Amino acid sequence: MKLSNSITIMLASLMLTLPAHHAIASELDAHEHGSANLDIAIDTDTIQMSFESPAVNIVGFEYTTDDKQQLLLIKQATDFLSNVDALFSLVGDVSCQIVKSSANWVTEHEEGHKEHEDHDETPLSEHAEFIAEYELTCNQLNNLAAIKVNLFEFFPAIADLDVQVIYSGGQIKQELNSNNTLIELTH
Amino acid sequence: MLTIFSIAMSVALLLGVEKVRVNAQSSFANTISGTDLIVGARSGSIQLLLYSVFRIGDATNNISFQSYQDIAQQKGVKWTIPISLGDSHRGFRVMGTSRDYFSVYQYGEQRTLEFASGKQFEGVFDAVIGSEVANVLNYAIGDQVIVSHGTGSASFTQHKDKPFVISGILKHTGTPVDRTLHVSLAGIEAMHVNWQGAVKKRKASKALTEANLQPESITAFLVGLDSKIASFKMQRYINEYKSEPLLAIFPGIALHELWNLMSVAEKALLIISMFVVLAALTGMLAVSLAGLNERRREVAILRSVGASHWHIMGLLITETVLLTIAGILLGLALLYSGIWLAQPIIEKNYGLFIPITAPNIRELGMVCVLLTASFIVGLVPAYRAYKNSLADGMSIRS
Repeated sequence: MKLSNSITIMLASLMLTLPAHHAIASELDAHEHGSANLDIAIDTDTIQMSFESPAVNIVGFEYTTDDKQQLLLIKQATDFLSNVDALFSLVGDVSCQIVKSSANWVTEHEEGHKEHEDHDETPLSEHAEFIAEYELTCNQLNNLAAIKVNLFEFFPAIADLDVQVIYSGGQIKQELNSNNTLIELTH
Repeated sequence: MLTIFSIAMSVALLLGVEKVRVNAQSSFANTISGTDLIVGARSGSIQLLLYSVFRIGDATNNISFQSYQDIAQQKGVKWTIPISLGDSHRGFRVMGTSRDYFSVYQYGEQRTLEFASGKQFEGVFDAVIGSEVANVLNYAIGDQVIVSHGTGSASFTQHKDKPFVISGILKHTGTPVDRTLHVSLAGIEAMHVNWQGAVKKRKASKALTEANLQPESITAFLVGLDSKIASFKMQRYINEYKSEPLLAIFPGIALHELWNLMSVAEKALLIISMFVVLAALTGMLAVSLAGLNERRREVAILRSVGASHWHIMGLLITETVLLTIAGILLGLALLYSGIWLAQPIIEKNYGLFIPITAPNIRELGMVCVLLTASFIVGLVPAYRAYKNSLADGMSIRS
């Protein structure tokens, strides 16, 4: 068991060291300062959203820190990102209940080695991200005309947000910025 | 008359470029609907999309049948359609797939494939052909066809020992399906049995049944999910698939990326056609200015019988605008007759169907801009005529 585990880990780390593989495997994990990703999936009565941003866009730094003030900043940002109501407004005659709304500070080290649990000797990470997951249960989702993204007001360091939407009306890819914050959905 | 014609040409060009652009987009978008993911070997998302669905561009690597079966059995996967490409029949692609293809594959506004005659393939050597294959090659149910190894109509290695029998002909769809010969995956396997490295090996052929003809690899597969919610999770799962490097793409999003890439070329075309319109308008300006000189006396006589400055201006502007309207109408006539003539040729060579439809809002907008531009162009000679004094027209120039 132990052996097979370490083989898995070896393979996993091998995957990470192969640049070509890494580049594609982490399509969703691309790390570009100033840019963030938002994936939205909508079906029948559920909206699921996942937001990922390099930490530098949110708090201005990306290293593991012991500094109290910086830890506080991370805490505040996580709390804020967990507030789905403030970050997004749904346009149209829909009423929703929040099922899940949580955000986490994730360093690249953790991301690459999700399989094994022990994090002793965590090296100072160079890349860190905020990952937030939201899930809403709604009535009358057919009335949802658009989703307005308010992230830019709170995090001006996000210059552009790459949005992918999968819903019954199709698959959309759109780039939002502070002047263009609306994801329009046609049914 | 020449002025009208040059405007007509420019209008036809401008609207023609626009029509081709819009229809290319919708024809691509209509080819695949209802498919949540396309899975293939790691390549680029656009390459995978173009090759697996539109059968254009460079071939992607194959993926193992094992991985396909594994993913097809994942929770949340509603259906999968395997696709195996690589052979051809007289220039038309041969695609190996499963029977689900005929019930699950959707195009346009969620329409499934329908049979014009015959039925789906049952046996290993049955084939179903698209409407265009049937038309061009004049095939009917029961005809035997021989598939060539590789693509291109001049392929030398042919699978002559294993002819296929046409079991069904599909209705016209306006998608690449029309130009495809569909066989079962077992059929693809069967014709390559006893072949090694594309070279025929003489050997007694065993009974070829579907059971012993499981393919080792396929080109790609389409995935439909139970719920759209699972889309991103499934994409991530496939992209991080351990035993083989795979790529899962959302067809809609890959298409969007393709248009982004193409938009530069589109803009260039649009700008060129705009300059052609500009040239036509300039030509009209030159003609009407030259004409003005000759009509010096006409204008003066009109003025002398009491026509005001404004009256003369109005006449001249009306003339240019009327000329432009005539040009636009002639241009539209040219455009539609051109489309009508070129329709079958374009469809055959590029698989692009350009329907004859009334101009859309954007095209009408372009026409309006053109009319406004002609009005502005008409102002120039009108202003000249306005400035010319009555005496100037009356006096005889030496």
